[in-house]
Amino acid sequence: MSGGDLYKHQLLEYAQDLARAYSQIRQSQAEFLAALVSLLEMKAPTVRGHARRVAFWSLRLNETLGRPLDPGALQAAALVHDVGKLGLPDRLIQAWVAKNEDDHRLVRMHPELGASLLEHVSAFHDWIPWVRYHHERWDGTGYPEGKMGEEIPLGSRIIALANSFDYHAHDYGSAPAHTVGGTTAWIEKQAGGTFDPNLVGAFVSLPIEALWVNRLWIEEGK
Amino acid sequence: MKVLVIEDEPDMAALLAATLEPAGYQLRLERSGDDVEQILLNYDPQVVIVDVMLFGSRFDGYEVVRRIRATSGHENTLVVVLTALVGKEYEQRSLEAGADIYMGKPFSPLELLEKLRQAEIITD
Repeated sequence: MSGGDLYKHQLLEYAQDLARAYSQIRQSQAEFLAALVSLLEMKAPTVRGHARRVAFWSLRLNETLGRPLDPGALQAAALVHDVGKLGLPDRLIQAWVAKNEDDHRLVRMHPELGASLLEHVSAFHDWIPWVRYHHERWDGTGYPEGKMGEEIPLGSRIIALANSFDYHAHDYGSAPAHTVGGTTAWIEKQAGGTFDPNLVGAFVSLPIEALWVNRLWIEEGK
Repeated sequence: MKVLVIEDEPDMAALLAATLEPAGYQLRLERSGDDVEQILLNYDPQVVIVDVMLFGSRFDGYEVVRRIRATSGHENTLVVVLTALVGKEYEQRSLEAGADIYMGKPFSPLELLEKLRQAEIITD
């Protein structure tokens, strides 16, 4: 092989290795996030699937809006939005709902705990604020900082809506689930209060019943 | 970690630098290994990557490896032979000369980085 040919082949090796390294990095990140979700679900079996469903609804909403956010980043943030609950006492992780003021105070720490945990991975920094602020409310009455309106990152506003939808519509065993229609009506009433009214409009335009019945998030979670 | 690269082909040397420096390795590039003993004394690398066919040099890569091994303090320095001479016989000649690792060109940069990382873990 001549020197020029060898150099050309060597450049091809570099290109192939670059592609391989890129996919390995992305896969390792996805596997790490999946492991965090599994750990949370081991601690709280009743919430199994919640992370995947929130990711599913977040991605649908992002598509309806014309994909303003990187779907990969949104999926990652939605999957681990509750990972900070791993930092709470086990009784609170399992109970899912706080029963007194002390517990409320602890539960309200989970978005920041999650953000702190994820900050160990520099590749996640772009979307960590979406985790930190997913319990902020459009009207400024949420936590941890009481951010209001568009001060709240769009990723957080999307996850907040998807999170509430799943929390109300899915049967977690402890309280009867609302119907999909009832949950959607409740979300519409929260436009401008809990949720960004533009997102509510986009969400209710989705074929929610059909998507719910088909349970496509199970496929996406594989 | 300090790496000495002995490579007569400037394009190949540039690719090696582009691979190793972002990975945190400190590099010294040489086009010939004729004065390898002096370079080892001055630079004291933990790794040497050496080509076999070094045009314009007195010594080929095998002789350079033998001289590295004969230099006090570098009996265990990690030596990688990186050559366009591909085949079992060339691998055997490289290892007999004292190299730790033989890699044929074109080489996989990821494989090279992985081998250096493994060596680093072992020597840490």
